[in-house]
Amino acid sequence: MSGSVEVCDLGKQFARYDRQRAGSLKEAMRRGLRPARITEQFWALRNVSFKVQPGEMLGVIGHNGSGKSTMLRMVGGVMHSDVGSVTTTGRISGLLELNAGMHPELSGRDNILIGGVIAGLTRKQITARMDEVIAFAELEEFIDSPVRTYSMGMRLRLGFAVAIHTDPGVLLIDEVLSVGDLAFQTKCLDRIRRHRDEGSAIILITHDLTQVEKLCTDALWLRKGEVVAQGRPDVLVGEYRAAMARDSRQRTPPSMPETITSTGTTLRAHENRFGSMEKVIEAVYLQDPFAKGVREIATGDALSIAVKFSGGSGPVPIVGVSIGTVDGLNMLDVNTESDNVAISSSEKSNSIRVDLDRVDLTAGSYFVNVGLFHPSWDYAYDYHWQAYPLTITGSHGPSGKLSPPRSWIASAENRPVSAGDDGNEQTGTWLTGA
Amino acid sequence: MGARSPAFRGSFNHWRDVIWLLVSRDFRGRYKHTKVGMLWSLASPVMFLLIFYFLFQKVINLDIPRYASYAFAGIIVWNWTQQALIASASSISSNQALVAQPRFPVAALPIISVTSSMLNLVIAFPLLLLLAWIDGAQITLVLVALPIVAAAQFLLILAFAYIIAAINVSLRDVEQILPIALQLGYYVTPIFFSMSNVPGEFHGAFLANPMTHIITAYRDIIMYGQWPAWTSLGIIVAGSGLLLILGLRIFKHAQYRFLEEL
Repeated sequence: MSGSVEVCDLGKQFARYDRQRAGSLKEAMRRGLRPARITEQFWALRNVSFKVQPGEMLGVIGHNGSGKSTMLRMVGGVMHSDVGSVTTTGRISGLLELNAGMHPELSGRDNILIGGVIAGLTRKQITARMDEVIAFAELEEFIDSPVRTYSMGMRLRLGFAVAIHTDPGVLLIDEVLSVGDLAFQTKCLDRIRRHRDEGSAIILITHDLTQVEKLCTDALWLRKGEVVAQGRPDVLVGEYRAAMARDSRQRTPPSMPETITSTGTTLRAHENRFGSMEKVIEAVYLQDPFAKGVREIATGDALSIAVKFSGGSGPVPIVGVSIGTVDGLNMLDVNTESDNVAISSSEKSNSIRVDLDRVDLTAGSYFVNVGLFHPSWDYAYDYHWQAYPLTITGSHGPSGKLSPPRSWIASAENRPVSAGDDGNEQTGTWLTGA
Repeated sequence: MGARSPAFRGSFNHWRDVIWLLVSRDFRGRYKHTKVGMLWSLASPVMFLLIFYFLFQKVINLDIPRYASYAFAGIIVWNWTQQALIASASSISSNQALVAQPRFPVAALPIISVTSSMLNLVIAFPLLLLLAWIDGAQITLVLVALPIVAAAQFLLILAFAYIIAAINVSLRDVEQILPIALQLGYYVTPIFFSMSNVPGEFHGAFLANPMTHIITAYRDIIMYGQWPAWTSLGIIVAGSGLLLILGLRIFKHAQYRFLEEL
């Protein structure tokens, strides 16, 4: 289904009231008939303009409280703007809060009906696509059991499947694309891509910057309700990441005791250690498959990186690990969010380990960087940069950094113009790392 | 109602399905996991009936003939009003996720609250008819007036429901005050006593209470085989209609604040 969104100079003002909110009778009586004493009016969103044409997808990035959701609500027509206008064509559908209105005591099938009418379909329309929804959610066997018996992943699959089967002209997505396991996520992303290609206008709010780079045709970066930049997703994401690094640097305490790592490097704030230190990385170990500490491995060897960190208070962090060159170029950059790893974080000490089956880098000096990030990627709690040296031994290439196992197959044609059935083939295999 | 108004969006068929499915969700969800299911909703009114029967027949005799059916009619009819208003008060404020859905008709929520609460009355009704029959009531043609009285009560509750739901979003005290106000209402309505027990100078307060006339209408029909007092019913319907128009206006006016205040 085709749709479009045009937002013109959109603005929304919220009021901060005296003390608490004015939502109590005591407050209302105290102030009598006088208008509420508003100490501060602030713009939750201001001067936002963009267009999303059929087949386009806009990625909206920004910290928590930057006005992303407020904007999405105004586009969805559930909140009024104070200035500016929103014009949409096509049926609006939201992947907002999955499973809204569903009841745990009722079966999956009943809940599909409920989710469907809440998303704007009639009972008849839902019944017509019931089988498709069940198949998408991969819940055929469980569909008549009460939802309370479902795992968290199954519930989310159910909610997502209902929401995505609503023929959206305009699709609004708020942070729900990290649903279920990786295979299901891929399926969801494929479905969203299909909607986009079929002419839906899509607005995506996410913390997952890679999704913005991969899926979106445009990007918008909001900070405190204002547009910082808008344009090409790859450019914006790059700038956003750089801003996060700056923010982490600003949050780093001016001075803190130096610590020495397991590999003997001294960690110094603002030098090779950044972050707010609300949660800290206590130790990082580079290990071989037998859990023996290593600082040097051969090309193609396995490597485990174990991280111990304090949980502290606050939300569950994202753990990121990267391997970079001495010049700071990342050869590998993985994190628990993009790999969809559920981590539990207790108040005290936590540990997590990533096992790399092969490290196919050419010989040379590298660093392992480890970071503990705020779940919204706003800033780092603790980031150890170039503190864990890793030396790779073995093959040197003339240039390039990758050295995967490989084979060369050479062939030559006897006659330039032929069907190729009598070609000579010479095969040579050269395995590295062994 | 203004088709452009978001809280009232959607086709008639969609509204019908939303109300039907959400009412059945509330109801089945509430009792599905229990052994005797919906019979639980009878437990509380029956207990009150036993208490009143003991107190006002055995301890202090109020001298009301056919007391069991008299009191039970009062209890279950009042319960609908009470439960519906309490449910409506939080129908917006506790359903933020639904209010944020771009195509959900938010104005259906008070209707859902009122309808869900009505089901308890429907379940208790056979027991009321049984009690009335034991007390000597006849099955007469007058029973056809029951849906009219129920419709009048529905309209009355709904008018208040919209106002209460909309106001409670920005003034949460409503949720606290309402049970107290309803408790007071319980004693300004002839539920377990009759108007003849009330001294004449207080009759005005009782007669100004629409619930007095609603409950009396139910009793007229079920217990005494009489047509209800059409004049008072007519006034209630007209008044509720006007109040509903006002309620819808307040609701419509407040709808954009729902998400800001939640």
